[in-house]
Amino acid sequence: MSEPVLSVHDVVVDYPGRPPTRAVDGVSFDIHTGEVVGLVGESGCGKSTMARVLTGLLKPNAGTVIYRGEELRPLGLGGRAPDSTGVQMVFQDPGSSLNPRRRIGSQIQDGLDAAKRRLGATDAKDRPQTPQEWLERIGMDPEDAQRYPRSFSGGQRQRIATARALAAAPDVLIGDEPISSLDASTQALIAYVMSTLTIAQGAGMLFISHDLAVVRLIADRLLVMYKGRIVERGPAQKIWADPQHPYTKALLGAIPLPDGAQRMPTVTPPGTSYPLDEIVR
Amino acid sequence: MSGELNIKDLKLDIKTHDEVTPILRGVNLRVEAGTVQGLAGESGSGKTMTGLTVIGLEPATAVTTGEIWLGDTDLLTITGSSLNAIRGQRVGMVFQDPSTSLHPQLSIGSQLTDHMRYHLKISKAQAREKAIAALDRVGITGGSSALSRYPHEYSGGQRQRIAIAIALACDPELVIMDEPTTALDVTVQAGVLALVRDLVDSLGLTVLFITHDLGVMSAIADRVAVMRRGAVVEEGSCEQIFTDPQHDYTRSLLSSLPGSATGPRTRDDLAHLAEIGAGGES
Repeated sequence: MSEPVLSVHDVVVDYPGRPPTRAVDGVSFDIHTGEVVGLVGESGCGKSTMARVLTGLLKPNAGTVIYRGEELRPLGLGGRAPDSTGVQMVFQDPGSSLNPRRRIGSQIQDGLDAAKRRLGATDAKDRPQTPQEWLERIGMDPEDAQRYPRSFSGGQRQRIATARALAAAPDVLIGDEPISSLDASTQALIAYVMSTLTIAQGAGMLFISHDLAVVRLIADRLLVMYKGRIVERGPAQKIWADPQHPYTKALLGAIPLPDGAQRMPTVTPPGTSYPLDEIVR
Repeated sequence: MSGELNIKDLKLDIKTHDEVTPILRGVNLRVEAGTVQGLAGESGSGKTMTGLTVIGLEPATAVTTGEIWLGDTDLLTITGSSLNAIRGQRVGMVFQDPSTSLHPQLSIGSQLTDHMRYHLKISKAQAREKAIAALDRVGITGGSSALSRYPHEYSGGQRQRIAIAIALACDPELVIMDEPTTALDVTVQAGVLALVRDLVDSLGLTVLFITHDLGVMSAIADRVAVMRRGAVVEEGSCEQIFTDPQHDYTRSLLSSLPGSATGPRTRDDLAHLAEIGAGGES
């Protein structure tokens, strides 16, 4: 496989306290261009902390994040360094991640400006160059550029947030639970749209979600996270069809399927703990 | 205990200074006693408003017409303090997020016993005894020491169990559960769903279970009503709704859902859905 565009080595994150809380406990993985990596796990497993580390919003206590051969610089007081805007993020709630008082065209323009600052003359320019073109690309009306976020549904807003992030011409797009605040019928579709646009742009994607049923449809590889560790990793279909780690098995067994069978998901006794050894498929 | 709920042509408008917005446009639903009636639908379909109206918690600006029969009482005709005899006693409510529906500064004991003492006119000691039994029934152990603890000492799943115990404390006929597992992790959700099913079967409880999550719906509901734009578009047994949906809206909802019989199974299926513009967006 080619050189990874983003590479995480033994990242450890502690949140202050007495004693400190270890949110991420030695996580390593790579993201290559053109692939969708799904990071799944339940609340408190450290997946959102990982997203913050990868975008430079949080400095890890140990370990490194290598982006394009260099260590990623954490966010400083003056904003992000232009060369780190190649890692972009789409957040969970587009109702709060888009600025309600700015027209969406101008917010997409922010992304375009970031790309210009980072790439300058070397920009290949093989992607949309105006907010209007981006709106067309995501299946919306170019005229919408003049409107404000409140005029759009949750699914449309998440498309807009995706356009804003991709307008910055990222090498890696990170989606932190980008579909969980949407209606069930649009979730799978928006996940597909986001991942397809990202791949079409030659970037890689880390799709963070607790919803395995959707993630396995769009991800090439899966990372299953539990208590700050990755406990199982491998091809998405393989893990979905035949989970090996006891935690992954419990997680999959607990997903209720919309099949009308009135089948109760498998209940694991509260306080069950699972081994932290990793299974690589 | 009867517990049968019959909603007839329930209409609800929200009035602002110069505008009237219809929220419910004639909801009809008959819920058999001792069953779990699912109420499904996307955001804005009116499912939560239907639940709130049954227990008289609709906004003050709402204008309602129609009938809501619980046994032989029309709940819509009851107002003011007479409603207190219904709320908490004959009808219980469980909300989505137990970290906001439980009072953070009151002990579990006082949240569990206050309404019992009001409704059942029992002594403090009797109420405490009943409260311990109520907690035990939902799987919260610790007996009387649990009563002196506070919500923050419990996990999300435990808090929702406590909220269910509060809703059940006065032995209501009907409990409305509005997205009771949506804020929970799937493994925790599984436990709460099993608890709800167990309570329904052992107590003969009637539950109006509101959720947008059709996977959860399929696991818990005996019958399912699908709502859209303030009305029920289809109602049937759980099996029929999921395996043989009659209404176009139900069909399109299921066809966009991974894991359903007609839902996407591969990335290519999703590509097809995107092409035909499915998903009910906008």
